[in-house]
Amino acid sequence: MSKYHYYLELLIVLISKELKIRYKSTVFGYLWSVASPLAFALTFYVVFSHAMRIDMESYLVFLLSGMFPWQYFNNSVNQSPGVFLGNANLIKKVTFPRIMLALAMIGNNAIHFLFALPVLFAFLWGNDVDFHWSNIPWILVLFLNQSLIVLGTVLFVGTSNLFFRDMENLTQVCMNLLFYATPVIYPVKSLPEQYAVVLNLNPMMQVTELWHELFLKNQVDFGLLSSSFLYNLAICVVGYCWYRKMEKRFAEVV
Amino acid sequence: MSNIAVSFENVTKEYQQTAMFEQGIKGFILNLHKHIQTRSSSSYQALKNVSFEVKHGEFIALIGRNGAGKSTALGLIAGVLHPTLGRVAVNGRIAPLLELGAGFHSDLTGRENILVNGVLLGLTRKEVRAKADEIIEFSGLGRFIDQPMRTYSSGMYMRLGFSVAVSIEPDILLVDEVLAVGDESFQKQCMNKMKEFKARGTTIIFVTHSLKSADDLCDRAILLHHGEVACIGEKQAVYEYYRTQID
Repeated sequence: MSKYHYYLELLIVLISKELKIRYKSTVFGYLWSVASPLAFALTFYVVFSHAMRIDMESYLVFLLSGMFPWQYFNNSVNQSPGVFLGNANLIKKVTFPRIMLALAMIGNNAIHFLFALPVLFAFLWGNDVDFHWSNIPWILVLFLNQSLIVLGTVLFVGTSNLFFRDMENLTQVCMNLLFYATPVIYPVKSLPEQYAVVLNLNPMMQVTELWHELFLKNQVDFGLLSSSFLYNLAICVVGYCWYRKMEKRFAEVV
Repeated sequence: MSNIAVSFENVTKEYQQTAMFEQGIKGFILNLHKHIQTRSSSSYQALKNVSFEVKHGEFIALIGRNGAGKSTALGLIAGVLHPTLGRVAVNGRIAPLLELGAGFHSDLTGRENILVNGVLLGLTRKEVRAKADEIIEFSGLGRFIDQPMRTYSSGMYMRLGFSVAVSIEPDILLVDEVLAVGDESFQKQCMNKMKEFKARGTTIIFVTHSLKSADDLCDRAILLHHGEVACIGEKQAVYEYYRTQID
């Protein structure tokens, strides 16, 4: 049995474990992964189309097409402080690549994200946005592109939290700020030009823009995609290197 | 395969004692001068220049008081810790006997946990499924096997953990004073299983601070004291030394 075949087996078992736990402990398992982004989107929809009045065509589908991908990122990163720390007893006893724990957690969130997409399609078509079936492969491309940031961030936060436990609180604060720095509830063109440089440091900025263009306009901007990919890849490499550097000491500090 | 299952060559394991941010960022800033002063010297040696060899098929007890370095030695053998200095060499497949419930999730059933644990210990899903009946039978859990593990008693956790660990047929079995939990009949069953392993040529490394538990089975003992090998050899001699010199 090759090493990689074994790693695949391990990953499958860990992901199905997470899924089973999720579905056993809640009655509405799948519904919750759809309900939470929907509830968020509806809240913002009510607030910004009735109370604060943003004048924008099909604002609800705009919200939803950014909210589902954001939730994938947000849920994974918010779970990342505990991804190694919460498995202390395994890390102390058994040798297996610790990255599997991170991959299983991300895989679980990714499955929920992908399975929530039909709900998004229903909203798109129900609101006369003509999203083409032929663009489905692009969803996979954008999903993998976003997964690079997810993996890099999860490895970075999960590793750091073992050595610096404040990371958990810090992550929560940062994720709240990052949500408002990401064009999920407002269009990117409404941002003042002079802040563009700073706001573009947020990797989720370009990713969200890519999702908007794909879902609402059936377009993929290759320039944007390649710059986003390079940036995301860099984040992934940084997170991975940090994890590799500290991995040997995990069992001492968990 | 060489004759040696586990060898420690001049192994030293150091832990950094106070991680810089242990007391959070406030503590770090308030004690900045202290951190700078002590940065180089704030380590603790859990094992100091330890050398020993365990041959294939030996049943060896690792004894010593709390904090003597037994668990560190076991962690080095299992490969979850890495020596600061020296070399640890291990030949063969290792099965660590997990602490009570480690790796089990209480919301999953015993059967589901067998799969997760078996794969974590190095088997494929197919291999675990093939062994599942044998594991369940050895655990003696009967119909409880399809109940969530939160309904299990601690003895039942232990039974299942032991059953999974032994089912992977390791070359080297690591036992970390966990067997005290099960009832008498299960302890007897474990001891029988270990005898069976011994007869088959499995190396067993048994960690304990009491001298009684492994008495019958082990051939040799290693006594650790303050991170150093105080005595190594025939169990009677080591026990005698432990009683007279250390206890």
